[in-house]
Amino acid sequence: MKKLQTAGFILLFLVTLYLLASHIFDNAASGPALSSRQTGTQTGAFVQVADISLGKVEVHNFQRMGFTKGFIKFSPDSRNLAIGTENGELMLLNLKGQVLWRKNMGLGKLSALEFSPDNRYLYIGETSQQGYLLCINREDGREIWRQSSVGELGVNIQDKTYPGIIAVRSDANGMVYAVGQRYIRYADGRNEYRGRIYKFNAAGVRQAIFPVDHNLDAWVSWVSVDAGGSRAAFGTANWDEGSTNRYTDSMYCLDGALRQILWSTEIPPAPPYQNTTMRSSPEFAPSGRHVAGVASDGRCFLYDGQGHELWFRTISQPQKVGGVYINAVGNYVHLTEEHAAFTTGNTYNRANWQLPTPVEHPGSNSVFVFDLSGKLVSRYKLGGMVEQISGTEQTMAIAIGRNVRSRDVGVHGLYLLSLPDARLLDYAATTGPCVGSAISPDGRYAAGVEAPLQLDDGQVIGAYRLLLLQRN
Amino acid sequence: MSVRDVWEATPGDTLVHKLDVRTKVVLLAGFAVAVILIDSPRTLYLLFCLTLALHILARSSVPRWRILIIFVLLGLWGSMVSQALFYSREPRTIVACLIPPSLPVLGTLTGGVFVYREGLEYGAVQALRSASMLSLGLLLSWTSDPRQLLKSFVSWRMPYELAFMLISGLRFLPVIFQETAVVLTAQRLRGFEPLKALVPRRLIQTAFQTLFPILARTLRRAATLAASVESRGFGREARVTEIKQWPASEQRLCLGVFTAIILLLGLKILDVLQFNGLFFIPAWRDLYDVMKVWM
Repeated sequence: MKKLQTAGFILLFLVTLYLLASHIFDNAASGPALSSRQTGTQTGAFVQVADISLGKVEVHNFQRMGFTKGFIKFSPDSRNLAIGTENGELMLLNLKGQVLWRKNMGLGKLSALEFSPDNRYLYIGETSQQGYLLCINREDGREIWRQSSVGELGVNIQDKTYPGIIAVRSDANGMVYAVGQRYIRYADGRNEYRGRIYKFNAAGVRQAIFPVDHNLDAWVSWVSVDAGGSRAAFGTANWDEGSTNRYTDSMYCLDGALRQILWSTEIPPAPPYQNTTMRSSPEFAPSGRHVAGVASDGRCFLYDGQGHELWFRTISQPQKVGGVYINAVGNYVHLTEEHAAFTTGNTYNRANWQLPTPVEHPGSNSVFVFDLSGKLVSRYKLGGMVEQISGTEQTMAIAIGRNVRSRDVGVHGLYLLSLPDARLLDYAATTGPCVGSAISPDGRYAAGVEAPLQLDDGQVIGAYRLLLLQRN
Repeated sequence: MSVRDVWEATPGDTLVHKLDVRTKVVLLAGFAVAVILIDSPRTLYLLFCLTLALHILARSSVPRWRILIIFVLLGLWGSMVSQALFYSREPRTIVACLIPPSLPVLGTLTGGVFVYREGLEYGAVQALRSASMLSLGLLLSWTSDPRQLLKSFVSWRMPYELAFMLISGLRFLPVIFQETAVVLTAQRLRGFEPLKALVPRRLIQTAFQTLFPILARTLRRAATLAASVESRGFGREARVTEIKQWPASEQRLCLGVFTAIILLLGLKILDVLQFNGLFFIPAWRDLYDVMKVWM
């Protein structure tokens, strides 16, 4: 009897140790694991290859504006998938879902991820006391070089207003373009923005910086470069634009050397908004012939590469309903040589995003596809916040997250739509919101990141995990 | 193996047994500081596994493993369960609801009782600290002669009275457990089954019926010990028996551990200063990165 008891204690002890170890060391995936609760996709056009846990993260709810992030990107040769997690883990996977290497970013918070066009390097942007841009060897995860942005953007460690590289792009010549940003909110309610655009060569030598001798006094969180590296465009988003601001235009286009502003344009605000803001656009077509953007107020547009406006469309006009202004925010752009896709997100109350809205905006949570003449080709209503869009010439992978109005969790998932007809090719349902999406350049693989969500009754649904799909 | 044999130190031929008792005390002290300074669950888990590996190295017997496991399990699960229920920091994630707030009386009174995921994790980390110390402490007590411990303390100029009390406490721990076993056996022989029913009233009754005889016997033993040491001139200046030479290699090891702990303390201070936005050395970024993951 005593031996049996001892054996029981030892067994319980071993199980406890195993559970502890699996919880503690579960921050990153160890290999492909198909979950039994997910049977795959809905139409069978894509099949699920892997379902990988990305570790434990803080669980957010519907009352939060920002949400858990997942950075995912396929390599240009469509052979690997890079993932950056909320926990600072960086991983490279093959297309079977096996982890080739992983590393922890340490003190920095991951804020951007991009492959070099020759597939040899991964560029990582981080937000930390030094705001580094890191170049990582794709083969083994070894760091090749790093460049900080603190020299230009400054830091205040007491207030924790850190510089960060929040967007990275590369061109066909191997040049890297990075947006450095630092945002300071003062106790009296004032905002200060500091931005800089850097250009490095593949060896990490800085080739140019814009502006040369001062910081952009605007919120800049995006840069787009044409494939040849001859033009770079960025938008601004100043919420409390002052009369002393130097960069008051809504969109700027620089030459490839980042020496001069080729053109810029001020887009007048759409009432009841006081300013025009662009957070995740504009986007250059690879040829550089066109540039498209979408403003938060729900207007989208196309310019030619020389800065001439081709057309403006409103995809979610702010509406006054029940005494309050509601609007569906314009978010992302996917621009090909033939079409432009624009996305809208959740419906918000103009007075305060947390206040309720009488109805959902009819233009909310959708993707709109236009041809280059400005004709609406198709529209698809997705039901939840478009958290990310990634696409090729024929396919778009769209991550659908929370709908903070309807709170319908059934809309979460990775949607695969065809271009230009916005037809649903397939749909991988996720329990929690889908917060990141990627599609391989050859269109054969798609990936999405699910995040956990706490419902109003306290129940937690979903998990922080990666879904990898393969086209059938 | 009798109860007393399980608790008392036994001679052995392993590396752990051969180590000078002063080395073991220094390592134990260093370990205690390290587990307090470290917050990373990974490192704490690995340190705990290291203490288990030392038990394997010391060839601890099955009854000793049994005791260690019971204590560790009680500590681990006790801490995890209590923290899971009473965790008050934010953010916290509900993983189960034991009493819904809508339940009449109890729900209204408590506002609901939930199991919080962050509480479970916090409890596990805290328990790993105590489990590591428990494991290493038991290893020290099972592999070190108390007389050698006393001599070591005295050689380190600890007041004789204090050292004597410390070692007496350690020495009498096995005796108390043995006496508990005797009391429980005696009660069983009289037909008393202390754990037959797990109702609170009966458990309290059992506790009184068990603890009073143990307390009485302990007091009697303490009085005998006091009379004995008094009669031998306790507290007077007395020549202390020579303690054997502390091997130089072990002294160097202890110096290394001491240096490592000082370094660890320095790193921890740096990390705390950085975390609170008070002081940051940009050139040491790599070090901060390592600390973020492992400390």
